[in-house]
Order: sequence, then structure tokens, then C-alpha cells
Amino acid sequence: MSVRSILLVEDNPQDEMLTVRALRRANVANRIEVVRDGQQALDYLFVQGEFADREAGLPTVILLDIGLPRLSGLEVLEQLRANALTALLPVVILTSSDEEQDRLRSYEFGCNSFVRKPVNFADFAETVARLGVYWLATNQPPQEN
Amino acid sequence: MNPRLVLSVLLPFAACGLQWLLWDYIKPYAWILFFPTAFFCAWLGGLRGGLIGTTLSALLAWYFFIPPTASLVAENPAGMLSVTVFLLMGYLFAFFAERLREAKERTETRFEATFEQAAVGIALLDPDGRWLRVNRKLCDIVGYHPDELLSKSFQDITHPDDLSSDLVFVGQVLAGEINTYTLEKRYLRKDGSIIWINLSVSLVRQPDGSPGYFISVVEDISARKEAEANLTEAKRLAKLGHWHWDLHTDRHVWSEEIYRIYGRDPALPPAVYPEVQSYFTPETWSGLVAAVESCRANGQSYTCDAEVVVADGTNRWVTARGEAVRNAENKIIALRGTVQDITERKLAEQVLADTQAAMLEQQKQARIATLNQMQDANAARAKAEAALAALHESREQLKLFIEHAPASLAMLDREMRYLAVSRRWLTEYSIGQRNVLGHSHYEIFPEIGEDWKSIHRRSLGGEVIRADHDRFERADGSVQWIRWEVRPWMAANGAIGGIVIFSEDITRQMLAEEEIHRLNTDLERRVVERTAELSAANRELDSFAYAVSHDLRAPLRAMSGFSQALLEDYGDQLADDAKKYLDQIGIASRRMSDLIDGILALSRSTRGDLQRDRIDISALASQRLATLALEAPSRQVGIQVEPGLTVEGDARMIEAVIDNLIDNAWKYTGKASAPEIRVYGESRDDAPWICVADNGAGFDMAHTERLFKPFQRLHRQDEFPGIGIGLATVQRIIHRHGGEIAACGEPHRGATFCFKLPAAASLHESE
Repeated sequence: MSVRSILLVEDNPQDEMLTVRALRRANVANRIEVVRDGQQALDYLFVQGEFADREAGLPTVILLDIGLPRLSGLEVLEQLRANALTALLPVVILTSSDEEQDRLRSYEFGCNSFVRKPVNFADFAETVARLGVYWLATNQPPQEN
Repeated sequence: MNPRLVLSVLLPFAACGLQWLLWDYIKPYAWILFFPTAFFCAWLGGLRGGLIGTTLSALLAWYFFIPPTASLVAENPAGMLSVTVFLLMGYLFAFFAERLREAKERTETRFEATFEQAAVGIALLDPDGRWLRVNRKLCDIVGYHPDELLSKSFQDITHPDDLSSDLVFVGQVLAGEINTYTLEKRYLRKDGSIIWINLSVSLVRQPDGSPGYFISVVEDISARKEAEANLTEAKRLAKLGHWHWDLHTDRHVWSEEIYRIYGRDPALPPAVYPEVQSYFTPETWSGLVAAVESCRANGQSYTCDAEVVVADGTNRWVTARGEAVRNAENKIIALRGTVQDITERKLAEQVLADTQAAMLEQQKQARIATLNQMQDANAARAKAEAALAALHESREQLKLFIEHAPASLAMLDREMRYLAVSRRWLTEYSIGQRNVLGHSHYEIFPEIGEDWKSIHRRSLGGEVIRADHDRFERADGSVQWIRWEVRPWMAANGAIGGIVIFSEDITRQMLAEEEIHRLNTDLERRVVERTAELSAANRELDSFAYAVSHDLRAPLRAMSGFSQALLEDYGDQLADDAKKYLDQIGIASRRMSDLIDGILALSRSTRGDLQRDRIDISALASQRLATLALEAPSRQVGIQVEPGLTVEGDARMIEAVIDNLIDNAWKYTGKASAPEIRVYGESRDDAPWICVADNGAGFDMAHTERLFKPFQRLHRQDEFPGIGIGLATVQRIIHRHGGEIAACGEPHRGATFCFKLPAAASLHESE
């Protein structure tokens, strides 16, 4: 069994720092891979482009922002679901948006969870910590990689 | 020969033979067997049998047994005496036997005759009801042959509906409770028809007291029954009821029909005085009362018509008749009379009267119409005469008429010479004061082209030619619009006498129309442009709001997050002031986040198409208040929500309105000593308004304008926290519906917010 890991797709370095810090403080010791945009996310997952050389394997869960450069989070989600390899991969949308449209479309495209980033730091930290613990420890993924 | 007589002859010989055989035992009683023989013969054969039997017996006894035997010689006087006594005894007995038989026969014959020929049906029945004997009349009544009837029981031919009452009586008689009974009942005849009979029954008991047989007397009363039924039917058909009023006991008796006429429930007793009054119209009642009183006092019989009031409003007419009933002393003891429904007759009379009136009216109208026609004809003739006279001066008048007509008008003859012309024509075609009459049109306007000449020729040929707007370019380049018409006129002989040319300069009108058209087009274009601009602006605003929601939040999260991280990770290395500053950064970030949420809420509040739903305001308000009360269980707020308040509008938006108004009322009564919130409807200028009132912090009416502006607040954050977006949202939604919102309040005395939405039909997009 490979080590469970998280793929964080986040273009904002500050949010990335805060997210990683919150996960670490919640004693999540798993590997956290960070990519900055939608295309990078796809490259990473399908081991292609700049990630063509990386060791194969899928993360346990993806934390996916919606507003991303190049390819938006929703487009990434759509492509993941269209590919048999990643069709069942747990994807959590983690976004600042509380637009009903975004929420609806995320679920239509098959996200497993939709979480709004709270502005309040304490709330944010707690939310991320819970996410990490839930998806890495509590939830049983469809397949082990 | 009668067999009984034969027996009377044979018996003495038999007795003689027997006595001869037994003579040794019974000797010397010579008459011993002949006495009974003589009796038997008399009993069997009556007088004749008795005489024969006695005589034969005497001779045989004398010959065979009275000594000397085998001879008819009397040996001693005693023998002669015994013969004589025997003969006398036998003859007397024969005589009495005959009398007895005759008497019995007479009795039997009478009974038979009574039974058989009785005018009523008579029958004997056993206690079970089986016929024992029936007479002919009964057979006639029920139509059965006697033998057929005897094979049945009375139960078989009694009408099923009457059987039970009959059987009850039978039971009572058998039980000894009654001796006889009489009842009217129906028999079923053999042919299946029903016959009414009067039945009288008595029971004949046997000597030991047990029931012997019934005697039934049956009387055919069908004629009476039919008469009764006919009378009832006749009364019903005649709608005739009768009544009786015993003055002494004040007892009233009504027949069924009276109940029907007055519409009274037949199960009730007859109505008495005050109630009867309500059956009649007041006008007819007074007359009826007078008649009844007179009858009661003086015995005066009466007949009068009266109108009866019926509950359903269709009044009925009746004829009431009454007379006095006197006793032997000629004193009036009762009144009796009839009431007959004559509504149909009255109605018929009314219809007849109406028809007659209508026919009279028709005749009158027809006569008037005829008179009018005659008048019209006279007038027409007068007019025609006047017209004829006027015709002589008509040419002059026509000229005058044309001359002063308020239009350009010219009348020309077949050679296109002017016959008459209006002044306007002269002015409009710049002819001036020149005399044109008698001159040719083409001479006046030599520039007229072939096209017009062709039109004139066609019109002279009988055609009417016109144009509603014709464009002409003048020599000086200016444009003139003309409406014209060329039509032929008829001379007295019916031929075309020439043409009339009419023309009107409509240049100004056309220019005005063109201008309006141009302006309209321009306006439409500008509306389209403006709408497009507005849509673009709205779209831009939406995307701006979207961007705000994402892009402004991220830096805020960073500010808040890193200042918190700083506190958590390096708090022990920071001075107290530094920590306080970091706290302030956190507070400011949160407030900014709230403001962003407010902007988004405001921009979103009226986004999307306006739906039209019927909304239960009372329910919305009650739900919201209940939610708030649940969140703050320690607060005691007096709540009044008027039930049944509804509006038509967009359910999502109106819910936001109610939530905001209720939330405000809840918030601003937070410091009131006895907080109250009231939701109610009221009518202003005939329009329904919905109001939310509280007795909380209120506001200064001088600042009403600012209330509805986004981010404008009339209270400090530390008094009542908030971002000042609620009422702005409310106002935007109400205005989006095309409605109105009004606020009134007073500091520390509460605030009331009322809004009105337009009626469903006028609901429109006002954004």
C-alpha cells in the first residue's frame, strides 16, 4: 500500500501556505503535492508534460480550487470524470465562491464535496483540518493506489 | 217408487219372519217386534210409510200370532182391542212423524234459501281459515266457482296488505277476547282484480267451548270505495279543501287539500288564527277577516277570493267559502267551509288580460305607425315640391357653395371649362383674382402634362380617380404633397356633364408625419441602444460582483490568516500592543468580509427573472419570527401577525424582504423594555399595504432618505451591529416589482415599514 497523499490545486500562494499550515497543525503528516493551475493538475495526475517523469500513482484526495489560471477547476473536474483512471478519484472543491451556479455545476460535474473557504482564519483552519482528517483517515477511497 | 216406502213395506215382513223364528221365546207377546217396526216405517216413510207399515204389521200379527193363528178371525174381544189399539197408535205416530219431517224440511229449506240467496256473501270457515261452505253471492264477489273456493283458505284470497290486521282479529276472537269483528279489507278476485269488501265475522263455539267454525258475512263495498276515492280525487283535482271550526271548543278540522294549499305540513295540527294570517297577503286578509266575522256574528255565508303567500314567492289565489252551522235553537255553533285553489284560473285571467292589453297596444302602435306613415308621405310630398322649386335656383346655389367650400374645388364641363371654382382653389393655385369661369383648365395651366390630361379623360369617361398623398416637385425645387380626387358629375339627362376636381395641400401634414416617424424610429433606436447599454452594465456589474466575491476574499483571508498565524506561532515574542494590533487586523478583515457579502447579497437580491407567485406573508413572517425566537430563547418579544396576508410577487425576493424587515425589527427591539413586533395589513388609497412595526430604537424621520441607501446606517456599530444592506435590498426588490415602500419612525419609539406591490396584472419589470 502506497502512502496516502493529497493533491492541492491552488493558484494563490497565501491560501496554499495557510492550507498546508492548517493541515500540518492538524497532524496530517501525509505528502501534500501542490500545483498552481488546472493544466498542471491534469499533467500531474496523468503523469504527463512537466510531470512526465514523476513516480506513477494517484493522490487519495484532490483539493481543487475553481478560479484557476489556464484551465478552471470545473474543466479539470470534467476531464477527470471523463477518464476511467480518475473517474472515481475523490475531488473536494475548495473555493472562495458561494455562487449557487458554481455549487450546482460542481456537483453536476461529479465533485464529492463542495467546501467554501471561510474568510475567518480560525474557521478556515478548522475546515481544512477536518477535510484532511476526514478524507485521509475516515473516508474509504474507491481504490487503493 | 220411493225406496223408503219399499222399506216400509218390507220391514213388517222381516219383523214377522224374525218373530216367527223366535216365537217360542217371546210367546205370547204378539206385538213385541211390530211396535218398533211401525215406528221405523213411520220414521222412514213418513205418513204413507207409517200407514203402510202399521197396517201390514197389524195384519201380519193378527194372522200369524193372535190366536187362532193363520186366520184373521178374532177369537176374543181382547185380541180385537189390541189390533185396534196397535193400528191407532201406528197411525197417530205416522201422522206425527210426518208433521215432524215437514217442519224440519221447512226449516232446512228456509236456511238454505237464506244462505244461498242472501244479498251478501256468507261463508262458514274452520278455525284455520279454510272455507267450509260458501254461498253464491260470495262466489260472485270473489269470482271463484264454489268448488275452487272450498279448496282455498281466506288467507289465500285476502290482499297481502290487509291480511295481518285480519289475522290479529282472528287471533283475538279465538282467544275469546272479542266475539265478533268487522273490518274493511280487500280480496283478490280470481281474475286478479282487487275488490273492497266489508267483513263481519263471528265464531260459533262447540258445546265444549272449543272453536267450531267462523261465520263470515262479506259485503261488496267497492262501489262505495270507488265513490270515496272519486270524491277525494275530485277534491284534489278541484284543489278543493274543506274545514270545520267548532266555535264552542275552538277546534279546527282541515282536509288534506287545505294543508296542501297553505303549504303546511300535514303532520301538524290545523293552524289557528294568528298563524293563518301569515298565509295571506295583508290586502286580502282584511277582506277575509271581515267576511268570517260577519259569518260568525250573523250567519252570513260568504265567498271571497284571497291571495295566499307561499314561501317560495309564487303566491296562490284561493276562493274561500264559508257558512254557519246552527243547532236546534238556531244558535251558531260552528263554521264550516271550503278553500279552493284557483291560482291557475287567476293566472289564466291575468294572461288573458295581459294578452288583450298587448293586442290593444299593438293595434294602437299600428294605428300610430299608419298615421306616421301618412304624415311622412305628406311631408315627403311637400319636400319634393320644395325641392322642385329649389332646383330652379340650384345652379346659382351650387356655384355659391363651391365658391365658399373650405377646400380646393373646381367644377368643369366636358370641354374642361370652369363652371364653378372655390376661392381656396384660386388661392392655392395662385390664380389670383383672374376670372376663370368659362375658360379652359388647360388654358389657365398650360404646363399641365399628358399624365393629368389622361386622368381627366378617364374621369370624363366615368371613372373616379383619387390619390391620398401624391408628391409634386415644384419648379423652385420645393416639394408639395397633394391629396386629390377627380370624379365625373352627372347632368340632368344622366349623361356625364363634366368633372369635379378636388385637391388638398397636405404637405404640412405629411412633413409632420415624416417627422413623427423619424422621431419614433430614433426613439426606438435609442431605447434599443439604452437597453443594450443597461444590459451590458448589468452584466458588468454581475461579473464585478463575482470577481469581488473571489478576488477580494483571498487577500482578506491572507491578512486574517497570517495575522492569526503570527499570533499563534510567535505570540510569545510579541509585545502586548503588537498582539492588539494583530487582533485589529483580524477584526477589520472580518468586517470587510461582511461588507463584501453585503454587496453580493444586494447585487444578487434582484438578479434573475421576476417570478409571479401568490405568497403567504403571514406564514413567512411567523416562520421567521419563530426562527429568531429559537435562536434567542432568552428574549421575550410580543408578537402579533395578522393572519391571511398575501401578496403576488417573486417568492424568493419577497421572502428576502420579509426576512430583512423582521430581522431589523428583532434587532432594533433588542434594547426595548417590553419589545413588540407587529405584522399587519392596511388599506391606503384602496391599495393593500403590508406593514412591519416595532417599538424599538426607531429613527429620526429627517434621515429617512439615508435608510434605504446601501452601507448607510443610522446606528453605531457598538449599539446595533450591521452593515447597512438590509433595507437597501428591501427597497431594490420592492422597486423591481414596481411597488412602493415607506418608513416612519421616531427615535426610541419604534419604526414601521410598509410596502405595497402592484396588483398582479400590472406586475412588470421595472429595472
